[in-house]
Amino acid sequence: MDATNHSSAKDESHPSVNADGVKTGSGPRRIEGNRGMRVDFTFDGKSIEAFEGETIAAALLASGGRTLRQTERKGEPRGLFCNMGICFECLVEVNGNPNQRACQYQVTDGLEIKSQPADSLERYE
Amino acid sequence: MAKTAEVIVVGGGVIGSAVTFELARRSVDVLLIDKTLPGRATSASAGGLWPVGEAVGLGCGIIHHQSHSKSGVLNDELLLPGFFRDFLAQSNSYFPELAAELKEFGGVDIEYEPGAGLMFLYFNEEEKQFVQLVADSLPQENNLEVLSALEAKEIEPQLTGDLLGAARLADEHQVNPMLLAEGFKRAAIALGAEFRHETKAAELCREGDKIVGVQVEEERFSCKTVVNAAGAWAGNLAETAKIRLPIFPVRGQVVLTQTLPHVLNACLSNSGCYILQKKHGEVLIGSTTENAGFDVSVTPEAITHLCNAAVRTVPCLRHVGIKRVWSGLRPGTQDELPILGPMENISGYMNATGGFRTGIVASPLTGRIVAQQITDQELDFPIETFLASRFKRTAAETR
Amino acid sequence: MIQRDLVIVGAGPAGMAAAATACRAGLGVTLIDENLSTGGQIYRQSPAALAGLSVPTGESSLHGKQMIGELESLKDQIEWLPNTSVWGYFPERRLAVRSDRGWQIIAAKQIILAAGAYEFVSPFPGWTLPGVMTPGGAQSMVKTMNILPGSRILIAGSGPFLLVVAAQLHAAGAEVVGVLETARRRDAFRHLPSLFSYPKLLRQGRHYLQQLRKANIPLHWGHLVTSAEGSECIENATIAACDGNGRPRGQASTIAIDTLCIGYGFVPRTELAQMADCAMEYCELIGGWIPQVDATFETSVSGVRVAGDGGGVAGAIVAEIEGTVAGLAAAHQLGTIDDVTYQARFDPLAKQLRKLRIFRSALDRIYRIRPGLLDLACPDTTICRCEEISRQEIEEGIEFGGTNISTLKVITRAGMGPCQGKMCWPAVARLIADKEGKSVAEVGNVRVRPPIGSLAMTDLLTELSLDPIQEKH
Repeated sequence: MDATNHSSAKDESHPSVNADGVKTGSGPRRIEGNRGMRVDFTFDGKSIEAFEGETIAAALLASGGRTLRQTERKGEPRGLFCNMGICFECLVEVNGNPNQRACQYQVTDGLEIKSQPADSLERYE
Repeated sequence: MAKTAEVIVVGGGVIGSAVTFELARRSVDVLLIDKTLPGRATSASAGGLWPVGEAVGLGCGIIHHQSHSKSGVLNDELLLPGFFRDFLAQSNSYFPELAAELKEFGGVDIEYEPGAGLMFLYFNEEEKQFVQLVADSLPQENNLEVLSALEAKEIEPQLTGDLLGAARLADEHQVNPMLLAEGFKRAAIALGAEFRHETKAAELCREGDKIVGVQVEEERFSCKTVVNAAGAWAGNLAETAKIRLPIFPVRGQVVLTQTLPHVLNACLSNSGCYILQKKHGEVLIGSTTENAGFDVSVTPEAITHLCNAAVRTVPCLRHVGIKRVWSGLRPGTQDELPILGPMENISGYMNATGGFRTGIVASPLTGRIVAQQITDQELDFPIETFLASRFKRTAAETR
Repeated sequence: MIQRDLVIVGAGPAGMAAAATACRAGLGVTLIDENLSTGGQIYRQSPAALAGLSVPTGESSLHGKQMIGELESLKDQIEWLPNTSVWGYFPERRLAVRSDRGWQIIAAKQIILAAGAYEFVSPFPGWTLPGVMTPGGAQSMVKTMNILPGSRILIAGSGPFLLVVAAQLHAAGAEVVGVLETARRRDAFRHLPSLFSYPKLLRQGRHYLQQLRKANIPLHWGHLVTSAEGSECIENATIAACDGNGRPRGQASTIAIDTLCIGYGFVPRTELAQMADCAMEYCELIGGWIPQVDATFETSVSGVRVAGDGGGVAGAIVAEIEGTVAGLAAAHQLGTIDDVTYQARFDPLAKQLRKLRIFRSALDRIYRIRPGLLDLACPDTTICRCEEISRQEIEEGIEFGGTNISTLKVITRAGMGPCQGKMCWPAVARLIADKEGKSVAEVGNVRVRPPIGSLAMTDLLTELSLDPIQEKH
């Protein structure tokens, strides 16, 4: 197996990278191609375009929405992590039902999706 | 390593831990040993503190009755003796102060949660009449309110519409049972007790009419008194010294939901299940009462039954996810009352078991009177009615 | 409750191979998978509505399509239950399943568990930021949804899978700024001779390396990500060289990215085997706790077999062969193929597996989890993601007496969240082991209780009716 390192051999401590170090690129996006039927849903009231066959997580990611919720204790932002339904990070509220995994839920027209904010669980006074 | 102590408590559930705490605060040199067997009742308890509720069968009692009674009729068989109700009520009254103490001594928050009380929900005439029977039998101070369906829904908006009515006990609340046991333990250690995990008492060491210690693997741990707080296994432990103790394991399966926003104000019970929302937002649904020996598996039948009963009572639980299902073994007794105190014809031995459905709420007072009994102090509640000698066929056989 | 002959849980390479084999050997087969289509993770299919998209394919992908096609051709003979999860195992060999049409108990004469594996990510500062995801998660976003998870992507961690994902993300149009491999080049060279035992796979590896070179994507051996930074999502990653134990050394540098794909190998999904009370053993090199099996992949529970990554991570080719053996063994045990036929087919497969094991065990050693990774987590780094428990809180819990798994759970709540400890437990077990001077094996494993995966109350309100099986002769 050819295990050549691509950086200049003399400089191990500062690995070279391709780009100019300035943040470029447009973030997550759909790759060109023919998709199925157009589907629209709302996320926190905002209308999101999606296509039949996509999961909620995929559609939200494509629309630039990485942060799906805020954690209960510390209010930290969380988003997609494993994309296979086992980490339970991508939880959103769908049509009033909380804690649905966005990566497992297929989009359909008219879904009302809400992000789950911190302190969404009220405590006993 | 072998050990000598004044008192050895066998069993680290809520009762054993409570007894150890009370002994430690009386400066007794006490060691608690625990095997950490799977299926400890403490870990399967809902944590409901329902002294009157359980005493009159409105907590777990009706559920138990439905699955075990031959006639299935709801009658005063379900009512436990008045003195026991008083015992539980007295124990229950200690919780606010206990919560502060355990936090101070051991740093554990037992999540004592005063809410809207305990509400027993009834759906048919027979249950309604039973509630009336209970209400009539209780003294005024127990504050049992009979509510219409509308009144019940005012307190608990998420209840189903097809309710007939409810019986409410406003002073009945809940706690985290595992943190309660842990809290007693931590406080006891802070007060000088020793605690050993993964240490199994293979047998009681008996010399004539005296228990002198416990055998742990190859070594003997010696003491003046052994306290049997081994819960569902208390009978087995006692038998190693030829002491017959009528304790049998009663399995309870419980379902825990995912964390939810605040949906329940009170602890709820009905003939199918009880439902309470824990501090972290998870809703706990219980429970079965099965004679399954020491088997702590869960069964799909029980899980389905509990879920159906829960959704029927609180319809908004329908789409909620189930986080976990598990079971524990309660120490059952024939008359549903605990077995506390010494036994006839044998010294150096004390019972602290048989808590069945009321172990959690009974733990503070149980801890106290067992510790008081051992240290010859005045008891906060008479122990006579809880002695093992009430069962005709128990005895420590003399050789 | 309904009766079946052979139930296979999981339709990845192991499950598909077992299903096809057992079916051809005359057995009635029920194949179950949580997903809508077969393929598992590695051969994951796009939903029908998106199937028209052009997604880059490779050798592996083509083989996957072949397997899927083969199973399709048997669809009238196999009971296929998609979108169905197995949420519990009950004695004897009863599986509790649920789909959106209800739940059911399936009592099987034979069971093959082929539940696959999931990616292990060792906790480090910033790992919970949006934009940090597993390489597999990014790969499936591209392959099945045709959506790029970001445009400036760094890939890090350990394992040959990183190369595959890097190549695929690049082909899909992302700017892959680099691949950081924790193992060092000398680790690879040390095991190079063993890798020649399976030239086909070695060629595959070389192919991916060439693709990266052609694309000018730098591959840095002996490097890792020490932290991720950003406010709402990841904006930078800090990287450094590391020694043979995975400990950072030398100067750190920072790189601006919008996505970090990070993964340190895979952990077998053994929940059902554990629920079935199979005897387990701890094998760190192949992912941790695995069921003990005999040569036919039968566990200590009679009639229950485990095949594929779910029994120890060894990749898709091994999974396929194991699934084939398990399918044959199940058929043999139920008497639809005789001893002679069985042995004649078993022997060459066993031989192939032995050869592959040499290759695989070299890979396992090269890409083993380094002990230094644990120390990337600072005191305030989140370890239990679900319940937001930090390293410090866990260590305090251990000091407070949480030296075994159950007590630690009760005290800290680590592992009590919806993922049931999957994400955090490998790290927590190592923290306990470290502090207590035990081995990770001695620390033990989280107890598995039903339900496995996601189950809602409503799922238990309706009984699922399954068609009666046609008799097979």
